[in-house]
Amino acid sequence: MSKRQLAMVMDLNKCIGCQTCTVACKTQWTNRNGREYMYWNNVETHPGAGYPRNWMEAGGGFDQDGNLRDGIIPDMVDYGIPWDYNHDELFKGELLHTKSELEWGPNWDEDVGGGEYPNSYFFYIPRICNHCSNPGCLAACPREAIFKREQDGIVLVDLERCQGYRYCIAGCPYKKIYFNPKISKSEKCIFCFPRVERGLPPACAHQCVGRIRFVGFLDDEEGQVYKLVHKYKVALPLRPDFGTQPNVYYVPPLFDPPKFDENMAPIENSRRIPMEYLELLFGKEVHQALDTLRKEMEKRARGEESELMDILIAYSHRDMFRLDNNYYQQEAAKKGLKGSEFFRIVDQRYLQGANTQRVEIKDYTFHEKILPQEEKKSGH
Amino acid sequence: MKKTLALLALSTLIISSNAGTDSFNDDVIEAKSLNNITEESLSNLPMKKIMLYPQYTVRLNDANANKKIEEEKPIEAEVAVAYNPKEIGILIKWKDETKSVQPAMTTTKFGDGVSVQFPIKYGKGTTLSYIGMGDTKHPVMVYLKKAVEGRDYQKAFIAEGFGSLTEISEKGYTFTMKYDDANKQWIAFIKKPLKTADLNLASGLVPVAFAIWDGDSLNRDGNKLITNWKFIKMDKMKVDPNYLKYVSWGYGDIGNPERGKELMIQNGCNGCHRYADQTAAPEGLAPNLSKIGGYSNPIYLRESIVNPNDVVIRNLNINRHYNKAAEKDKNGAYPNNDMYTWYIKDDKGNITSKMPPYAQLSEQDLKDIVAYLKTLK
Amino acid sequence: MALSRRDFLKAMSATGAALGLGSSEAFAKSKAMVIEDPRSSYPNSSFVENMYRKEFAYTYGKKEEHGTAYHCVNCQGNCAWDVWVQNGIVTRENQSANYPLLNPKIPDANPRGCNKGVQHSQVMYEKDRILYPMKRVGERGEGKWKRISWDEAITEVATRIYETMLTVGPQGNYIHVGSGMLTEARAASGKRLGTLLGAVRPYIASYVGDMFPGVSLVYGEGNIGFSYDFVYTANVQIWWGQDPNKSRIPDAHYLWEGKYNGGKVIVITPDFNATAKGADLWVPVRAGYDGFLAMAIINEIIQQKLYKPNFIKVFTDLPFLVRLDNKKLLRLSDIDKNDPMFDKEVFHNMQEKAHGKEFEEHEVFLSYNLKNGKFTIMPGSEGNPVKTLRLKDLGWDIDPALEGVYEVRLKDGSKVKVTPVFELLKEEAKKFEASKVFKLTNVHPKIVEQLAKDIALPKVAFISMGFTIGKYFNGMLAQRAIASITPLCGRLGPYGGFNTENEWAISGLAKISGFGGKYKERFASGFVSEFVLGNMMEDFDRLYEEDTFKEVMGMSKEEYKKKVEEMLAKSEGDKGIGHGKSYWKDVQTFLLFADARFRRNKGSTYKKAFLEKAKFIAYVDFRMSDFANYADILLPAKSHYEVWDLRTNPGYHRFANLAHPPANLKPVGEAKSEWEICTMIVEKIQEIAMKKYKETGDQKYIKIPDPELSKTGYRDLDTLVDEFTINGQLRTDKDAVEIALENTDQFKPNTIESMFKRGGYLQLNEKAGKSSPLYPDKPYNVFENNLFLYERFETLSGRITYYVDDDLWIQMGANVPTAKEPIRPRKFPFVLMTPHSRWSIHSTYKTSTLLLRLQRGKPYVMINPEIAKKKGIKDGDEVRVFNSIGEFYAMAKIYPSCPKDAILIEHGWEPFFYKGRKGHNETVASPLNLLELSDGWGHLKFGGNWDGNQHAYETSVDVEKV
Repeated sequence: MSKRQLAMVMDLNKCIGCQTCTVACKTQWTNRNGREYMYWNNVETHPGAGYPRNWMEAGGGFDQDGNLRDGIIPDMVDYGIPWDYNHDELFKGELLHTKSELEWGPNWDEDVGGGEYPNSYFFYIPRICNHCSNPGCLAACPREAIFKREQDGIVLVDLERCQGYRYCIAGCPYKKIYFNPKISKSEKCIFCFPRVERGLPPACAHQCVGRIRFVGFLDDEEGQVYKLVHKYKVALPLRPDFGTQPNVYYVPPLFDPPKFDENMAPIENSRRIPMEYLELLFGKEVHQALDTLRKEMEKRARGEESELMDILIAYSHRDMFRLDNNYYQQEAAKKGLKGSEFFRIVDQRYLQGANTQRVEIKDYTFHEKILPQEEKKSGH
Repeated sequence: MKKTLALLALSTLIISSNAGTDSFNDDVIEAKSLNNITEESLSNLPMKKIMLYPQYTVRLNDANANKKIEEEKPIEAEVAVAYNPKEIGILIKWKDETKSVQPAMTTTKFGDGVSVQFPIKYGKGTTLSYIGMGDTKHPVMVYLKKAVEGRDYQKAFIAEGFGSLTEISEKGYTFTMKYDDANKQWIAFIKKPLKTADLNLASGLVPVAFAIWDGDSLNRDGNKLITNWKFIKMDKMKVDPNYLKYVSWGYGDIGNPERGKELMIQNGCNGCHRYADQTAAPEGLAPNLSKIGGYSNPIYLRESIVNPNDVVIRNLNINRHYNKAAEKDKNGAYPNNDMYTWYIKDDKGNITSKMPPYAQLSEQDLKDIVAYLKTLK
Repeated sequence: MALSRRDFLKAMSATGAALGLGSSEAFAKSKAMVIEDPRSSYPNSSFVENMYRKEFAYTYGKKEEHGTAYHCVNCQGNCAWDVWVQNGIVTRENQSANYPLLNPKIPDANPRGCNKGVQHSQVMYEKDRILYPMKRVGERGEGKWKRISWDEAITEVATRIYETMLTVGPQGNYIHVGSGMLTEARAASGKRLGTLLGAVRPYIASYVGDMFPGVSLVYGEGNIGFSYDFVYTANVQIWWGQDPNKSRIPDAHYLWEGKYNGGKVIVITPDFNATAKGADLWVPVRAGYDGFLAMAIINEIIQQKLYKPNFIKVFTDLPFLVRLDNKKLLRLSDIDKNDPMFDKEVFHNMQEKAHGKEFEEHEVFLSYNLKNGKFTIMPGSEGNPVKTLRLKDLGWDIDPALEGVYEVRLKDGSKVKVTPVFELLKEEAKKFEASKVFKLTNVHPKIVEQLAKDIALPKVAFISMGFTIGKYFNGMLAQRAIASITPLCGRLGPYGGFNTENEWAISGLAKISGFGGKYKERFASGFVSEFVLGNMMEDFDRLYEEDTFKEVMGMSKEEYKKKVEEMLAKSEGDKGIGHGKSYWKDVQTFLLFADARFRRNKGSTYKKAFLEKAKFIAYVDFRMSDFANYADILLPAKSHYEVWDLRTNPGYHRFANLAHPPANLKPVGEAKSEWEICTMIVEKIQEIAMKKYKETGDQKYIKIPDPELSKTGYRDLDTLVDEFTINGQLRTDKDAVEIALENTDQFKPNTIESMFKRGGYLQLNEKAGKSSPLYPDKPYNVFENNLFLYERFETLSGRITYYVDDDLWIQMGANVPTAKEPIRPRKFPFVLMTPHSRWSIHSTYKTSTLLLRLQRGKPYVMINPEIAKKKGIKDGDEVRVFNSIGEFYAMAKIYPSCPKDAILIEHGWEPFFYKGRKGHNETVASPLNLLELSDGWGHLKFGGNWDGNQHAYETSVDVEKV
């Protein structure tokens, strides 16, 4: 049980499925060194097989009594074998083709979803490691080489002690921990903690073009994460029934145009996405969450104030992230790392949090020399 | 290794048929003194047959691997040991119809492997350590070799029970593993200094244990086949008679297994342990004894009944069981379910086994129980 | 020193796990480590933490070394990025995300960017990168190349251009910057060179089919609309033929934030696309019938009296009177001014106000003034020197009739009946009554009813129209009909209205594009040039069915072809300048920049015809595109992170972005910037020409006759370098950026330094608004000056235009807004739709391994499940798509959101992805639309606002399992 928990909320109504997050993560971490097939961040179309293929049926997590469930380890085809091309041969007048057969990929069923024309439907779910409070991977590791960071609850694999047994992969019901065959050890999303510690949000969130991702500490009552999860209860964990208590939360899909009847007339107040499916993904709480969203949207449409709408609209991109850097500086001081390169702030814009007042910087100046950090002792 | 199952089944039959009539000599490996210790020179020595049994004490969470364990049968290996004042060499051969090398670009394949384990402390006055990577009071050294594509995967560890395997750097040892296609068998050879800072093997009677991993059965980690403690007898070194007496206790026909079985039920062993047809105890509450006879020495069984605190075994990762009844913390984290920790730790860090000592049992009762446990293979 | 893909990979793999995990020595312990509960505390965290910290530090590099960039190809998204380097190698990029919050109640523009820009660092080191100048040594397309020096390459290019000028004249050269490079500073290089040499320069927006001629007709310009933050403020957003979630990725957030803000989102497309999935209403219009739907909406608005009379009387030509005898607009030049019914007084007062300026009587129009029952001339039209649209002024008070039939006396004393345009529009719209066209449009009358209300009633509503509408043969009419809806409801400026693409007024770039008026560019019609160059009439012949064509167009294919030839004859060559859609047939020497034309161009004849006509092809690009394969000389260009550049338009936002290479960036091969390349060419041409001149003393070697387009009558080669470089000021990409910054009012006050510090951009000042002020804290939308200041529109009527009385238009029944069916052959059951992809900007980034892994890895067609079942096609099968002009092979993707009468394939796949190098355009014909070809009426004169489109969607196909 970590002292505090850093968390993320993703608003599925704003997700446009562009995968900028996926690629941002890839260039930051997984385009090299045996990680090529991994997508620490992926975006999948639902309903769909997802990535890795049929992960929801692959077991892991905890049963009703709190005991770890058996699971399986997906094979390379389920992840999608990362295919390569003969770019060099274009200079020989060759056609451009893959060097291996195409069977399946991480976004193979993009935009397919369910239903039939004209009543088809689909939506996107971006997925990173959930940095669970009861992590299945951590529980499954017989080496006890997976841990939650005390300061922020980020789940890491100790690559020194990991022996590549892969029980963690079977144990994670989200299949968000991966085997790196090149080093024969497991790796996973690290919530970009080296960025966070230096004042940058995780790459997937920082670069999210749809502006769907909020990052902050769950106990930061001023923060959007706290308000969406605890105050308004519109942000829900994915597959809560897996029993791992994820710390990535989703605002479920409300935006969904009406269906047509057999004469092509729209059916009033009809939904395309079946509620049963949303219940499967987000539990019974999804009804309450959608109702709250609907009511607040109506309020806003009537011209009334709505804090919830203000939060989801997110006027200022930089304010979507509350990394509470003073807190990290304090933690670093305890470990004697304060002032080391690892904790040197590179960006002033996202530092605010429960222990850190917003650094008031004039627009445009963040690229210039780093302003001194004003210390503030308090809390936590 | 499926093809060999029939054959192995046969050999297991033989073994279980003469259950109870086992002899200490079956567990003794004669070590020859050789000036020149090489794989070649050892292969000319007579080989000792040893049996390895699927590890059942703890159950892991890989569904596919667990399916295979059900089918897994004991396998037979042959070992030869030689030594000289400087070095010790061990040659290990075992049949494996399916050579498995962990490939460079897959997630689901595992390589075959072998390991040799020595207790760091042994000899007069030292009780035998738990076979599964030792225990808190009896740390062990483990030398591991695995077949991994493109890499020489060999490691030396120090361990004191489940989860504590810790890689150390030991200089001057070699561990090779070759597949002999003609005879469909692996030939592994380890040569190491007789004495290192961590481990002194210069003794007349040295406990040793072996483990084999079959990649094709998704073996890795505790998911493996293991022996009980064997004893290397250095022909030119003195054997301490007391130690010999101690470790050779309980072989042969020492009691009545049927009565032992009843005694265990009367004493409520099945309340925590699972074994044979006794499956009432929750999975993981205590070590599973279903195959305990295959990889435990009689004296160890006796010790762990009479004085369980001497060999406190670490349970697997305590986070495998959450207490859903208890209250979540502010981040939704459940506390672990203590029911599944096998020992209690006081604030000074002293640990005592949750299993009470059964010192009150009569000598004959103990013998009968051990006699029964020996049949569980 | 050249950097290869291998170096890049080596550099990158020097990070991460491999770095941390060496021999076991690295982490020797001597005692067993026992972990009590890794969930609450862990004693060994620092090893892995420091490993990842080091890895991040490696990719982040040194902040002071980083660069800024954007990835403007033809996406035009234009986003500011930070580019990070380690040891001179670009490691990665991220959006600088530092645009200001303009208004605390409107979301900011951060972090503008997309899934393609975010991986440029990966393709810039890809193995298809052209590293050196190369010369073709085998047959064209055979793929045999010889590395040559820059000097050899430039000499050959310069020589061919020069010789062509001598033998054919300037019009023998064709110098063109393709859609791979549309930026103010960088693209200006090739354009400037083309203009200087008098080479043919086709209009890009036209040949790519991204024009809005139907919109130009209505508003006087085609690229109009808002900055995308305006979307957030709308009560109703209508996205017609558009998929912003895929094709406007950086701006799409404004739709959904707008919806949270109480807005209603409506999407009108045949397929249930990525934007429709989140809409309040999706309108499944049948492919090619958008015009019919638009007319149905117009009819509904008129019938339900949802239009705003007081607005359309002032701002549209709907009150203008039309003669019923010949359907011509009633002109001042027609009438008898002594007719007592003619309001002489108003005419007189306007003459007063004109201060003696001439009235062009044939461009002055009349209405019937309900106030005094007289015919009165309307202010503001082209021929009326009184330019205001005000109908109530000191000298006049006009309440023009919208309805009724009146009789007016003409000069010859005869009388004709006249009626307002509005009556004719009403009559035409009736033909498209919702229930009548339901069968065609697939849109239920209930929906038409709803749409009319949603457009008319709320405070702010807009229709945003995508490029797809213009990609149908009769798409220009559809564009016009759709553009004609919102004015009926009085929507301009803050009240919404109509959006295509906003353009900022960027003045002062003339310095890098022009030559002080000495030389005019040889500007050619895009769609006509390509049509002629590619013998594309052959495809028309082979694809379209006589009966279908006649039924739709009211003329036989032969009649149509005759008409096209007549019209083209008028505008061919130099003599055709000013007589319609200019084009030059005798082009033979091509210098092309970033222009994948064999991917883009339609039909099965284009490639062959082009290669026959092109005697020499020099191609400049940073990667080996499909077209590069056919060049004679290949010149390696720098890519986005290696050059200096500046980008503003189009006006999705109010920022100009800066490309600023990282410090100490290692060069990639021998790549050079386009500016450097053009300067070298110019220097070489002058050198060769002067040599000839000195040898012969003959002026003809340095003075190339060009009477039409050069003030001096010549292209003067002896002063070429000084003219091109402005006496040395303008030689490099960085020079271009600096000059642009110095000379553009809207950029002031800014320097490279100020832009860089800010994160690679500047904010346009208030002068950037064309027809509305650009307020510092409000989103932009066009035509406020017209709405509030009564300024005229740049149209013949001076108003939003509904009526065109050109003979051809009248003959084709297009004098008022109307709709025509597609001409696609009926014998092939599926219309082929090729929408924008989420994964590429046309062909740019289509070859990215990283992005292809997030698709199917090869071209795929999307097929409705029911159709697939009938055809026995399973997901992943290879299928053959074909019609009477061509075929292509692709993977089948079973796609429930695809209509049953269509097959979708995302465009942008280059031919080299397909079996036999036959891309999907092999099945697509693109005939010239006569109305788009027509020229000369009022504001419909050839130019940036009036050219035509290639028609990517006017094809039907069949499909079978291979």
